[in-house]
Amino acid sequence: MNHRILGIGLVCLLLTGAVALQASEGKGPLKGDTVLDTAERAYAAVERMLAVTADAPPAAVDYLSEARTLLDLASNAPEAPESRDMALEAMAAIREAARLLDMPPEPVVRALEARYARLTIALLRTEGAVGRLHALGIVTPVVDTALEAARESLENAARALADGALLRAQAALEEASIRIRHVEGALRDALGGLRLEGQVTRFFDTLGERLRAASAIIAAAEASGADTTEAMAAYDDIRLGLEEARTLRQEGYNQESRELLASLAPLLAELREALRSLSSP
Amino acid sequence: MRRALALGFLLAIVAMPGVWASYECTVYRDGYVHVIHSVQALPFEAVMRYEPLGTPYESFLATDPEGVPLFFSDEGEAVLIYTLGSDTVTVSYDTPALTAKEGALWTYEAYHDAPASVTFPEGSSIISFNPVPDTINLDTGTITLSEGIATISYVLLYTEDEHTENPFSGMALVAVVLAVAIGGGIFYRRLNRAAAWGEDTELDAVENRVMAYIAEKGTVLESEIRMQFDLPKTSSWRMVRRLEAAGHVTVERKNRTNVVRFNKRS
Repeated sequence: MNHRILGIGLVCLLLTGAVALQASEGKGPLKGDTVLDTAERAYAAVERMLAVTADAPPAAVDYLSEARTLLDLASNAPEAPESRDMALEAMAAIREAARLLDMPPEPVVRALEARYARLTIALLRTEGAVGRLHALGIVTPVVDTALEAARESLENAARALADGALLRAQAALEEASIRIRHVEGALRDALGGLRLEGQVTRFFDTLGERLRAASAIIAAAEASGADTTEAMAAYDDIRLGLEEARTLRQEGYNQESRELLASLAPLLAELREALRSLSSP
Repeated sequence: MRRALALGFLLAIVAMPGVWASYECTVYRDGYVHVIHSVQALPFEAVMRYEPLGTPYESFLATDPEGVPLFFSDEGEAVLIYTLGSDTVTVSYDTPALTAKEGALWTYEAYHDAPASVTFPEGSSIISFNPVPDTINLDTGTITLSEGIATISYVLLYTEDEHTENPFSGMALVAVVLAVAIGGGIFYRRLNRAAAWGEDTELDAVENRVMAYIAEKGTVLESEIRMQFDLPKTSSWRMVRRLEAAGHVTVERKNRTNVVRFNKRS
C-alpha cells in the first residue's frame, strides 16, 4: 500500500509540476533586440534630462557618451548575443549618468496626484471587501459611516486638484488618508467581532474531513504493524482542540476560538510529518 | 485506494506551497508601491504567517477567493492572517520601502518569492535591470520577473514647464550640493578608519553579531550569513538591506550571488 500511496503522491506532484510548467511557457530571457530597444529609450530619456540640466557634471556626459558608443556597436548586429551584453553595459553607464544628475524634486502636483490615485484604490478595495460582507447579510454601520466620510474627503481632494488649489488638495488628501485608516480600523474591529458563519463553518468542515482522512490512514498503518504513537498523539490533540474551538464559537467566544485554532498550527505540522513518515517505505 | 488518493493529494499540497503565488506591483510617482499578492494557503490550517515585501506598509487588506475580507493581526514584520481554510488568499498593501532615489535615478528593489509583474508610473523610463526580466512592455512600463531579487532603475520624465514651475529647484540644487559635500567627507573619513567592529546601539543583537562576523571576514556571501545565523531568506535579505542603508556594508551582485562587503566605520 505504501508504494501505491507514494506512486499517487508522485503523480499528483508531476501534475502540479506540469501545470507550473505550462504557466511558465513563453517566458525566458529577453531577446537582444528588446534589451537594445530598452537601452535606446533609456539613453533618449537621460539625454533629454541632461539637456535641461544646468551645469551637468562632466562625468554624467562621459557616461552617456560611453553608453552611445556601446549602443552603436550593439545595433550593428542586434540579434547577436554580444549585442545583448553590450546593451546591458550601456544601461549600466546610463544608470550612472542618471545617478549624477541633480534633478529638481517631483513637481508638487504630480506627488499629490499619485497620492490621490493610491488612496482612491485603497478605498475602492476596502469598499469591495465591505460590499462582500453586505452580500453575506452582514451589517457594518460603523464601517459604512467611516467609508462615507473618507469618500467625501477624496471627492474634495479631486475637486481641489481639478481647480489647481494645491494646498487645499493636500489638506483634503491628508484628511482622506486619516479617514481611510479609520475605515480600515473599523473593518478590522468588525471582522474581529463578527461571526463569519460561512468561513468558520467551512473551516471546521474542511479540517474535520482532513482529520477523518488522517484517522483512516493511521488506522491502516497500525493494522500493518507500523508505530503510530506520534501520529495518534497529534491527531488526538488536534481533535480535542477542534472540539473546544467549536464549543467556544458556539458560546460566542469568537476571539478565543480563533486563538485556539491558531494554536493548532504546530500540531497540524506534527501530524503532517508523522503521516509522511508513516508513508515512507 | 481512496486512502491512497487522499494521502497522495495531501503530500502534493504539503510539498508544493506557493506554486501559484504571484505578485502584481504598481509603482507610483511618489515612490510608494501598491502590492497585490495572490498566495496559496493550506486549506486545513486556521492562520497563515505573511511577510510583506517591505515595512512599513499601509492599507493592508487580505481577502479569501470570494473577496470576503479576512481578519488579521500585526506581528511586527509579519502579519497573521486568519485564513480559516481558504486555499488562496489575496493580500494587498502599499509600501514606500521598495524604492529609493539617488540623483535623478529611482531604484525599485525587492525579493519576490514568486513570479512578479511590476508596472512603473506613466511618464517613466526604465534605465536598467538586474536580472534581465522575462518580459518587458515598454509602452505600458510593465516588467515580468521570475522569483528572486530584482533591482530595476528608472527615471521620471517631466516637461520643461514642470521644471520651471517649481520654485524650490534652486534651493534643492544647493541642498544636493551640500549633501554631496557632507556625504563625500563622511565617506572619506570612513575609508580611513580601522575595520574593527564594536557594539552599535542603533542595531539589534542579531545585527551586531552579523556585523561582527562580516567585519571579521571582510567580504561574505549573503547566503553565508543566512546559513551561519540560521535566518529565513527574507529576514536575512531585509537585514542586509538595512545594514546597507545604514552604510555599514556594501552589497554587490556577482554571478547571481550577493556579495556583502564591510564598510570601515566612521
